[in-house]
Amino acid sequence: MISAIVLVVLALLGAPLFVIIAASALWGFYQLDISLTSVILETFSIAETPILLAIPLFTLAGYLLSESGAPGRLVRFTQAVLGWMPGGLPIVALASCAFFTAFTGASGVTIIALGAILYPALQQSGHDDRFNLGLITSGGSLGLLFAPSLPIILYGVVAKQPIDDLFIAGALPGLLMLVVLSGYCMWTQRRHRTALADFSMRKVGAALAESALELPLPFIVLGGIYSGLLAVSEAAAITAVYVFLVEVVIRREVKWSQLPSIARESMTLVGGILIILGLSFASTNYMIDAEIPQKLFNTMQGLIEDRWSFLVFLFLFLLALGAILDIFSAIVLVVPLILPLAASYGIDPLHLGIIFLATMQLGYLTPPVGLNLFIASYRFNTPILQVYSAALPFLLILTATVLIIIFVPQLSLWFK
Amino acid sequence: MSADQQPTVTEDHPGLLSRLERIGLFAENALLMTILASMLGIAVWQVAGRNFFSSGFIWADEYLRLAVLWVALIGSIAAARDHRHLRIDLLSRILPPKVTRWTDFIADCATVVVCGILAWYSLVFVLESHEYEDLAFDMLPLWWFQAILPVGFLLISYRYLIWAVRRLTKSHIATTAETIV
Repeated sequence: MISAIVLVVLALLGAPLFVIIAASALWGFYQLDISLTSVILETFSIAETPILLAIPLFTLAGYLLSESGAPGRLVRFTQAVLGWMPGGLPIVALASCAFFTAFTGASGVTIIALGAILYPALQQSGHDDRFNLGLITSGGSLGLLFAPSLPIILYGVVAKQPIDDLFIAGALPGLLMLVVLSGYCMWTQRRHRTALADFSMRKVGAALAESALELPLPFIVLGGIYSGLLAVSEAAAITAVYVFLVEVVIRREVKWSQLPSIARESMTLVGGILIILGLSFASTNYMIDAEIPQKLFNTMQGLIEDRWSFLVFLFLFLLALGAILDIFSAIVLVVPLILPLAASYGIDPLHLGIIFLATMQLGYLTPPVGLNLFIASYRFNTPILQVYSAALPFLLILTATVLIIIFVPQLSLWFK
Repeated sequence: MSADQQPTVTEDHPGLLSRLERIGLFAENALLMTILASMLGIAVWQVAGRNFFSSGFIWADEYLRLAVLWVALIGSIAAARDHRHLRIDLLSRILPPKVTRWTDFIADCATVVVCGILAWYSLVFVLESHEYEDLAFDMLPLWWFQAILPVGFLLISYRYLIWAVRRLTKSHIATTAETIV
């Protein structure tokens, strides 16, 4: 008990989470009189889980894209296609953020790479600053549910679920978020219609030509995986090589001299995630040995009777979790615990994954410590309180959407 | 996590230490580049082989799996150098720097100790593997590839030791900005 308190205090003081997980595994194995080299043996399973290859490769591809001119082309392309709608530019912003986040894995890179282009554009076309700020801040985590996002892959690894199924399961819920937020933008920004250019096939053609090399990307990923030609990690390899060839060799927008720092930046994130995952293999094993999920299950059974109350509880729990933990650590730490619990209430593990990610996404926007709020405040040089209030309407709308995703499992499971 | 942020080369060590810092930084980047490049090459070759010549290479799968371990550890060493391991940074966002200096100091010290323990048991693990003569690729000693574990944890421990010392010797170091973005 005391050891648990010490660990929680250390975690709150800001010790790296992998250290907390390692310490709990070491302590647990020591209590059970198991040799502590087992902790290392479990960590070594990083090298025995082939699917993990997808994580560094997709992340590398995302970081390469964000350093190239692709974000600008993506915005221009979406604008040519969607810009004529009422509330056009905000919808353009949401759609490009979603697309981009799917590739960069929602680590704040979207706000930084796309915000720099979208924010001034939104200002120029006369939208008010508060709206723009809220839009970009909430757009930064949109797209988390679309293939090949990193959190989905990580959930698949931890929960031992097929990743291609998870990609399908996330599609409709992700689209729902996009459509509902777009509807909100259309409604509030309906007066801005004239500020934008009309639809013209010529513009679409020009934008198509400009983005011709990037547009195949979703088809490579999704087409490759669902045609059965490529495994997920193979699709990651093809994507990374393709992005490298396009942005470094052909377009030369990313210079060779930038590569070391891009490799370092992206692998800093990947290393941080994988080391947590590796050590959690050990701590999860200990938890199962100590029958912690079983005890948790027994306690919960006494408190919560039916599936709907469990879902409400789960939602509130994940909301609180998302406000203090990043999505990657949360998946690794919490999924092994709630997976058997959710199964006992009849919740499909695929649906659980979508619930988990969608609710954690809200955490990025939840005051006081949501990550996107801080990134936006830092990036756009705005006091944090102003960002809170700007993001609030978007947070409320997204919350309503997430509740729909939670209580309508068919949205995630229609294909089963 | 901004993509354009340069890794921080620390200028606060005179002479030998600062040269070591630069060599270390260079080694990390060079290793990451080499491993990533080899991963991409081998993975794509593997896909081509499987789809067009209906033959794969067993050693390629094994190489890719070990490469992920290496990337994980070297990425972690890099994250330790820049103080960017994932953590709950609740306090550093709400408390004044005067206080977070000490909370960070405690957290860094705990990291030094735990990573030190991990490094020690990794060493024991590698020595055992050496004793059993486990093989990688059916010909090379597996422990060569496992050796990244003790080396990695030792270096992470060392990096956090330096961070802990900095908290004591420097009046104010903001790690807040770099952990937010």
